[in-house]
Order: sequence, then C-alpha cells, then structure tokens
Amino acid sequence: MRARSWISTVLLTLGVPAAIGIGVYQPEVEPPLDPLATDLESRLELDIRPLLDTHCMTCHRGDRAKGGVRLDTFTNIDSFIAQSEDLRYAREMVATGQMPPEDEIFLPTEHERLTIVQWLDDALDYTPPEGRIDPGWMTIHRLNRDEYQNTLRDLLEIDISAHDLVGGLPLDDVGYGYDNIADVLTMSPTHMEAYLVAAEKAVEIALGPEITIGNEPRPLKRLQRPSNGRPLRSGGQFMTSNGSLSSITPIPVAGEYEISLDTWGNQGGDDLPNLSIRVDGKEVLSKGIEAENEGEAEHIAVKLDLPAGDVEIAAHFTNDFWIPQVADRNLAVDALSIAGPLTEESVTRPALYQKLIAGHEPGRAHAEELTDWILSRAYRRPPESAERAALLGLYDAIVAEGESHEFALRQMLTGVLMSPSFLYRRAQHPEPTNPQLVYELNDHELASRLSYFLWSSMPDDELRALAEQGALRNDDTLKAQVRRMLDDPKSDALVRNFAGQWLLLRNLPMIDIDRELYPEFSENLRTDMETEARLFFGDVLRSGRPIRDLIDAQDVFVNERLASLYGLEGVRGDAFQRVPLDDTSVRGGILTLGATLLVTSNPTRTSPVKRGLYVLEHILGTPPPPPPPDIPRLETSAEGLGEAATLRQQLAAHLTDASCVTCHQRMDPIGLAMENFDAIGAWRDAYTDAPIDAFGVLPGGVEFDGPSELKAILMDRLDAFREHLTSEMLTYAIGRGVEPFDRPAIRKISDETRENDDKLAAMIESIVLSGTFRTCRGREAK
Amino acid sequence: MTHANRNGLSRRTVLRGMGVAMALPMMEAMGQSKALASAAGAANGSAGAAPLRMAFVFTPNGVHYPSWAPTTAGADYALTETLAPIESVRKHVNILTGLTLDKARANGDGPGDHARSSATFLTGQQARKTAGNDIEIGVSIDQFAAGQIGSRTRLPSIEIGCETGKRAGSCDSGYSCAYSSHLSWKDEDTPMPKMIDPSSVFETLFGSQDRQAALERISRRRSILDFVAGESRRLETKLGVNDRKKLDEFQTAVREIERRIEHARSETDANEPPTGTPVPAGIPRLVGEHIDLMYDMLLLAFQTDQTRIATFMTGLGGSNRTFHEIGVTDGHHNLSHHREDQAMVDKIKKIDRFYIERFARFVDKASKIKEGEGSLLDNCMIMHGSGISDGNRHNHEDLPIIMAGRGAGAFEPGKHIAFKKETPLCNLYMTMLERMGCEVESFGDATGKLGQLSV
Repeated sequence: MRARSWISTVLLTLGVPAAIGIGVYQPEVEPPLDPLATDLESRLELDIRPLLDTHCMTCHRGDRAKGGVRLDTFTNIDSFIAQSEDLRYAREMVATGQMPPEDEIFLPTEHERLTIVQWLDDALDYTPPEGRIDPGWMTIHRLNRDEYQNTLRDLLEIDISAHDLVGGLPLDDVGYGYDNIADVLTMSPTHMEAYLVAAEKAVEIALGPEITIGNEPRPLKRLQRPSNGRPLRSGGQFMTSNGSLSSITPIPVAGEYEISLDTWGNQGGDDLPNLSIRVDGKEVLSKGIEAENEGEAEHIAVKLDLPAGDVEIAAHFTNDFWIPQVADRNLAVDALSIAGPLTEESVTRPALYQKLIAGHEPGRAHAEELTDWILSRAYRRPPESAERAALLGLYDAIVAEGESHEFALRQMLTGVLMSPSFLYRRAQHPEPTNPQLVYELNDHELASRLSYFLWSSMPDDELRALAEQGALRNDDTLKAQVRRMLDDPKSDALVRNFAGQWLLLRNLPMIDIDRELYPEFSENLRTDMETEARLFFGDVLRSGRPIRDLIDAQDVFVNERLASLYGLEGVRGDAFQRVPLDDTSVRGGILTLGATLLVTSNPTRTSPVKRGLYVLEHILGTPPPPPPPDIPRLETSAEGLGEAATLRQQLAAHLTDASCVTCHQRMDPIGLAMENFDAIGAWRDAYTDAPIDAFGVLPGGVEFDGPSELKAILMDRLDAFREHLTSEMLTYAIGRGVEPFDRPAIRKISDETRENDDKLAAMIESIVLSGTFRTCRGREAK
Repeated sequence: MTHANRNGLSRRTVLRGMGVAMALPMMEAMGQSKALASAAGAANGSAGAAPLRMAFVFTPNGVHYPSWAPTTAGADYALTETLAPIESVRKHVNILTGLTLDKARANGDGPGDHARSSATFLTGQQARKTAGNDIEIGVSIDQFAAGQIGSRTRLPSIEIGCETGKRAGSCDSGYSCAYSSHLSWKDEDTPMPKMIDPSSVFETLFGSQDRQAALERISRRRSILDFVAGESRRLETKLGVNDRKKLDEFQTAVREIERRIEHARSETDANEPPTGTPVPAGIPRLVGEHIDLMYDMLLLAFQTDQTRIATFMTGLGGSNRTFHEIGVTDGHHNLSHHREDQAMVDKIKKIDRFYIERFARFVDKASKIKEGEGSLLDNCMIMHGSGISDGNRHNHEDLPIIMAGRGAGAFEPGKHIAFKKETPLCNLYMTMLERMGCEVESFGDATGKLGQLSV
C-alpha cells in the first residue's frame, strides 16, 4: 500500500483543499461513485458488446484491425476515453451507414444501428467528475524565444524592443501548431552560445557598462596626426603648420569628463600660437599659448559633459604664421588625455543599477542581498539554501581572483541567467514516473504557469506576493488575477502568440504575392492585415465578447488602406479604428479578415482547397486526413485560361475520384463559397472573364451560397467551434499537445464557457481553474 | 568593460547592403589559408597534409527527374538539360544515380513524404510520426562523425540553411515541424538548429571582437559555466528520467561550450578570416544571393579549418518558396505537383537548374582555393541532393545525388555512376564515414559500402 502512503504525504504536505477535489486515481483507491459511468459500462456489456461481436469484430480486432480502428480494446469508460478519437470516427461511419460495409453478410437492423449510435453518443458526451479527469503530465519546459525575451524585460527592466538580444537564438520548433510545446523545445550548443551572449548583453544593458569613477587621466588612443611636424615623446605632435591631433574615443556612459593636455609653442609674428580644443567639431576652448618649451609646458584641462558613444576629441593649431628666416609660429600638443566620469552624480545610471547597486557598501553583505533578490525572481520561487550558497560561491571565486565587487555582481547575474532553473520551468512532482499520482502545483508553480500562459513572461510582484502568502490556489483569487492580467498590456503576448499561431498570422510575412497581378498589394497592407487580426482578437478577449463574434462580427478594425481594400468609406489615415458594419456586409469575423484570406492564397491566385481546409482545421477542428501519397494536386495555375471555369471544373474532378471525394466534398464547397474574395482579400463580383459561382452543397445536402451563408452554417456548428477553440487554447496554455484523455477536460471547459455567456475570457478563466492546468501526474519512463 | 574593438572591425571590410558579386573577387583572392598547414597536420597526423572535410547540401521537393538524370554512364556521359551548369566543373563531380532512401517511404505511416525526405535524408531512419510528443528519428551522418572526430576543430560541425521553419500551423501530414526543418540530428530526438543569417555564421566562425577581448571574455565565461554546470547537476537529482533526458541536452550543450572555450584558449593564433574577407551584413533579399553567401560561409569554415563537417539545408522539406529572380512566382512545392502540365514542368526545371547553378558556382570556387598541390575541393566530399527523386511522384528511389571533390584521393570524379536500383543511400554514407576516419559498423539501412566510388 505504498501508494496510499503517498496520497497522505502529498495531500498533507501540499495541503490540497478538499474542495478542489484533486485526488489520486489509483487502482487500489475506490474511485468516486459515478452513476453515469456505471450505467454506460453496464449498457456496453449488455447491449453493445453482442452487437459489436456480431457485426464488427471480424475486421476490427487485434493488431491488424482494419483502418487501425480496434473495437476490442475498450472495456470500461476510462479505456473508452483513451480511444475516443477513433470512436468518434466510428460513430460517424455507423450513423451514416458506411459501416458495416454493404457486402457484410450480417448487417445490423436499423434499430441495432441506432442502439450503437445512441450509446456512442452518450459515451462521447460523458464527462467524468473533476477528480477523475486525467490532467496529463508536465515536461520540463525551456523558455522559448518570446518567453525568454519577455522574462528578461520584466526581470531586468530593460527595453527589449531597443536591443536585439536573441539574434543568435534559433527559432523554436513548432509542434501541435504552437512553438511553446515543452516536448518539442530542445537545447543545443547553438542555443547555449546564444543564451550566453544574450545574458552578457542583457546585464550590460540593465546595469550600464562597468565604469570607474575618478580623475585619473587616460591617454587617448589611436591618434590621428597632422601631416606636418614631428611626433613627441608622450604621443603628441609638434605642429609646424595648421592642423590637429585627434582621436575618436568611446565614452562608456554620459557624464562629466576632463580632457587634458600639455602644450607649448613658438610665438613668431605678433600673436601667440593658438590652441583650439574641439569636441565633435565644436570648440570648447581657445587659448594663446605662452609656454615656449617642453620644460615649462602649460597643462590645460577642460571639464565638460559628454554623451555616451563615440566622441571625436581634437586639439587644433589654428594660426600658423611663417616668413622664412623671420618668423615661424608653431604649436606642440602632448599627453592628450581624458579622465572621468569625474563624479557619480554626473553619471546617469539605468534604473536597475540605481536599485541594486548604487549606494550599497561593496562587500559580501551586498552580494547576499542581491542573491536573494535575483534568485527569488529568476527561479520564480524561493531559492534553496544550496542555491544561494552556490551563487555566493561564484561571487567569492571571482573576488578571490582579484576582480572588483561590482564585476563579481555582474557575473552572478549572468550566471543566474544561464542556470537551468532560470531557462526551464517545471513542477516538482514527487514521483515523476508514476502516472497514477496526481500532484497539485504549488503556489509558485501555478503563478508561473499562469503568467507564461497570459503574458509569456515571469510572474510580476503581485503574483509573487500572492504565491508567497500561499493565497493563489483559490478559485476567486485566480479569477481576479486572470481579469487583472488580461487587462494588463502584457496580455498582448497572448494575442500575438496564441492568435498569431492559431490563425496562422505568423505565416503572413512569408506569403508571396505576385505584384503584377495584385498591384494594390503592399508591405504596409500586409502589416495592416496582421494588426487588424490582433486588434479584433484582442477586443473579443478583453471586451467580454462571446466567441461567436469570432465567426461573425458586426464590426471591423481598419485604417484607411484596409478600409479601401474592403470597400468601406469614411476612414482616413494610418490609425486603426473600429467601424460598425451594417447587416448586409459580408465582412466581420475571422473568415473575412484580410489576413485569413491572404494566408490561404497562392502567389498568383486564390486556393479554394486551402480556404476550405482552413475552416475545417482551424475553425471546426475536423481536418480531413492528409492526401494519400502519389496523388498529384488537381489545381493548376490558371495562366491564360478562363480562371473561373478551370478552377471549378478542376475541383469537380475531385468529386469523381474515389480517393478524393470523401474529403474534398467537405473542403471544396467551403472554399468556393469564398471565391468572391480574391487572393489578397478584396471583394470581386466576377473573374476577369467569367462570373463567380459561390454556391455549394455540403455532405448531408446542406446548400449555401457565398460567405454570409457559410458563416450561418458555421454558427450552427458553434459547439464544434467552441470545443476546437478550447482544445487549441488548452494546448497553448499547458504547452503540451492534447491527448485523447484530455477530451473530458476540453468538454468541461467548453460547457463552462457556454454557461458564462460564451465569453472568450470565460474560456481562459475556466482553463486556469481546471485540473488540467492546476495539477499534473507522472509519466511513464520513455 | 568591453567595447567593440575598432581595430578589429577595420581589419575587415564591412559589406553593407548586399552585393554578393562584390564579394567574389575578394574571396577568390584569398588563396591558401594560413591556418591550414598547422591545423591540418596536427589532425591527420602527417605534417603538411590538408584535412578531409565533408558537407551535405539538401535541396527540397526532388527534381523533374527525366530532365535531370543522365542517360549514359561513365566518364563521357552526356549532361542533361538540368545538369548543364555542371559543365564548367564536370571534372570535379560525380553524378550518382540509383540510390534509395527506403526509410523515407511511408512504410505504413501514410502521407508525409516531404517531412520524411528531410528527416531521413542524413539519418537513414524512419521518423516516428508525431506532431511533437515523442519525436524520434536517429543520429544523422554529420553528427555521427562530429561525435567521433569533431573535437579536432573548434566547431565539431556547422548547420546552415536558407529558410526558417514555419512559424505556425502544421508542417506535413501530422509530422512535427522539427522533421521538415532540420537535417542534422544529434541524437534520436534532438535536432541541431541551423543558422540562416550569414552574419551569424560569420560571427560563430570568427567572433566579432579582437583576440584580447575574446580571451578576457573566455576567462569570464569559464567561471560562469562552472556555476551553471553545478546548478544543472543539482537540478538533475530532482528530475524524473524523462525530464533528465531533456536536461541532458542542456548539459551536453554546456560541455560543448566549455570545450570550445578550452579550444580557443589553446589556439596560438586568433581565429581570423583570410585578409580582406567581407563581413556579411544580414540576409540578402534574393534567394540566389542568400544561397551563394551561405555557400561562401561554408567555404570559409572549411578554408580556415573551423570545422570539417557541415550540413546546408537550402530549403525546408516541402519548401514552397518563390524565385522572383528567375521569374518563378508560384511556390516550389505547388509547382512540383505538376501532373506533367508543361507550363509547370518548365518552371520546375528552371528551379532545379537554379539550384544546380548555385552548386556549380560553389564547386568552382572551392576548386580554385589552393591547398598543397591541389585545391580545397580535392580534400572535400560534398554531397548535393534531395530526399525525394521526382517531386510529382514523391518517390524515394533514384535520388538525384551529386558528389563533388576527390575526398583526399579516395574518389575519381568526372563520371556518371549508375548504381543498382534500390542501393541504399546509406551505403554512400558508410563509405564517407570510413573515409573521414570514423569507426562505423552500420549506419541507417546501409547494406555495405559503395565500391565503385573508390579510385
């Protein structure tokens, strides 16, 4: 009974509130009484199994089951859920009479067929009680590019838009449609080197360069000499005609500096030789020099404020005078140097330097203070004492090598940014390979999961404070935090990263459009389309709008360029505004976004197949299987041919080919209904040489004509859309592909969303409150 | 405190905008690299001998095979329409036909030939069909070699390419984008990401700072990596076996960076590009210029002996890019399904030839860089090809493979060698691995080595 002892350990140490009902499902443990499941299981044994045995098992059993669909493997409701994808498919086949095949000897009666379908429907509808929903595993999760950059932004208070920190970091691989999937995020030496470069850069940006305050002069380097005269012993020049000695000098930070030099000269004529010191061409001192030889050289020093960056410092001789044998005026400039910054007060330090370093007494106490500050934030939890000791060990080692206190602090920060505890997030499951043991994320782990979901970044002070008080694992607190976080501009990350991938907006920059065929297309228009899509999704998210608005909305967000493409009047300028649509408008919703229409097009024409596939895959979540190998595409370029006739006729060929018809009778009519939108999303009433026919019939005989009627049909499938969106959002939220065992969770979240006025924000809230988000189980060793 | 070293930069001509044409004469003027003699002698154990290198160049979507494949074999084979650009470098290359990637076939896994064509190309293994959970393929030939002999150079291998992975959506028929975005696999589930910005490649090869600053940076980094290694050991004890495998990638990467640091410390010369080498300034706009510049980077890497093993993915598996410079505005993948439509076939042939032109230019340049009595190319094995034979048919036998270079005396180029049908491509890999000095008992689905290639 080792398992039982674990339950109590976990429950006690983690203090799982009974109300959440997260328990452990363990063979030895009696599952909660669930009459629905019991009923389904007894109907399976009494009514269904005999029918399956008679009509299906000849083909659908064992390893070589036809179509890979096995009907002999589910014996109870849990194994049914594990196989629900196959069984959903089986239900369609049985309900539509496609299975069993007509040449089968024993065909079921109509009543038997209905009995099977009814049971499959009930079983597919079944949602287990919360405690019995499998939450799945959590894999250690490397921060992806966006998460990494945003985390540096929030941790070190730096402006990531002004610096390219991650240029060398490879793009993250996409799995299940998203680039934040823990199992897919790998680490390579290329990553490691890029993280190292980025960490060093980030620390330098956050703290500014390390500088020494004081007035010790440093000789200027890489002097540019005039062509006349001769060099002097301290690097200077004896100038015999007008000219200058200059140097381009890097100034690490803005502040007060002192430029100094030694000078002497020969008068020759009425005037003293004139020295002019110029900084970036601007004179800061002009003086006649009386000293006549090196032994009595005049030391000149000018204090001035200099900006950060490269500065040209020059000493000019400006009034040469020469009459052979009579008068010869010359000027010597030597030991040209710079000192500074002279005072701490004159220097502008970045905010983080002010906060962490300025005004602290250098020494180990300061290092300890910094250790606590950085570890609790960067590791997103309170540090362990061994971790504190290790970081202080790094400090001690660097100081022992004779380096400065401040240098050692900088190295500590860089080291933390390279630590796996910073670069990976995870949950501390006590038995990581025990799939039976469910672990509830602690407050810090939950805070982290929440902030990376909604912000693609680390928890802020408020979340961290709640986690430290142990107050986050509470439904009301979580709901309040979700609302607060969605209102925060940082939730733009959710729009960019989730919608950007779900709706394929990220592929927009790669879509190539033939500019000769579409002269009105421009890069600005491409950017506008992406902006529109984000503004629209962001508004549905933040303004409490229902998810049906994603399919059809009464407004669009456009600027002048987009409005003109859409044929809307009265919008001026580059700024975006919300424009209400009247009832007759075909626009509104995802399908008619310029972004959607463009991203599903080919460079020279529309692709009805791609548009149909987009709707099935991204809206309804029912993508057809990929085309079989060796079957070439039917669409071809429409060059020189009547575009309209060829496209529809060619697509019609799909419907006469047995290997194409099943899928294309679903895809093609949807895409053809959108043919009034050209490849860049503008409305057209006809092709150049033929009328457009946007009429279509879906399997089952549903007829429709054009985009508005298509949207109406999708509105009828709102349940399917909701479940699909839930599945996508959950994938993104937990960074794991959804598995068949996630179906009940998806169904539950969908139901809760519908009950909460179908708001998109309610879906997010429901995900965050779900067991799938708040708990995890172990995973069998691979 | 470090600043960009002006001296260091001024030694190199910074190339702004993009003029690859400008870069050419300078590259050709490089002549023999100084790093070679010492590094090479040390590695191969014989003073003066140049090291042997190998590179693998992948082109997407197969070819229009009838226009590609020569119909006559031997030394006086007739070049085909697509291979015509090879003429100028004919004596440096062998055309290999009849080779097969059986594991890129469906073998029960259904559609996904494009993802498999890239995933299997250098691994010879069947990719596990998954969108992300449990990615599994196998170690690729370059990483197999890098594991055994990579430590002889500062970089065990480099991975370069010209197309980023897809940013959203699915890639090919239920296969994770990792399969169609990478050729190079360190182990069964860790792809080696490729660099697509030529300036990043340059930076990786030569760094951007002067020797003194680099050494200072190196010594700073050592203590940080010590700390990081310690943190990772501590974390490891808390992880389950699955997560430990993930962390293992991290630890391997740390060790590799440590090794590079040690390598850099032990070098007597700074790793410098040949005098006058232009520094690339980002990704060129035109595909052809991008490919050419990446080829130049590959040459630089070999010439300065920064590495001896490279993979170059000119396009992703199933790439749908367009080629404005040759007037092809339809996507490559769409065109490859041409159903013998003549207009489409013509465009495909243009693209095929375009890739061959790029390769021929590279081979020509490599053959003009002197090395000992011969050329850099003579000490190379450069394989160029696709994991699909005919893009319209998605077949994986009769692959279009070209091998350039003499392999330091192992090969006798200038011929078309027609192998027996269904000869595994991995047999070629066995030959190459052995030639590189690797111990190899089997690789992928190899059944032996290719005898006919050897002199």
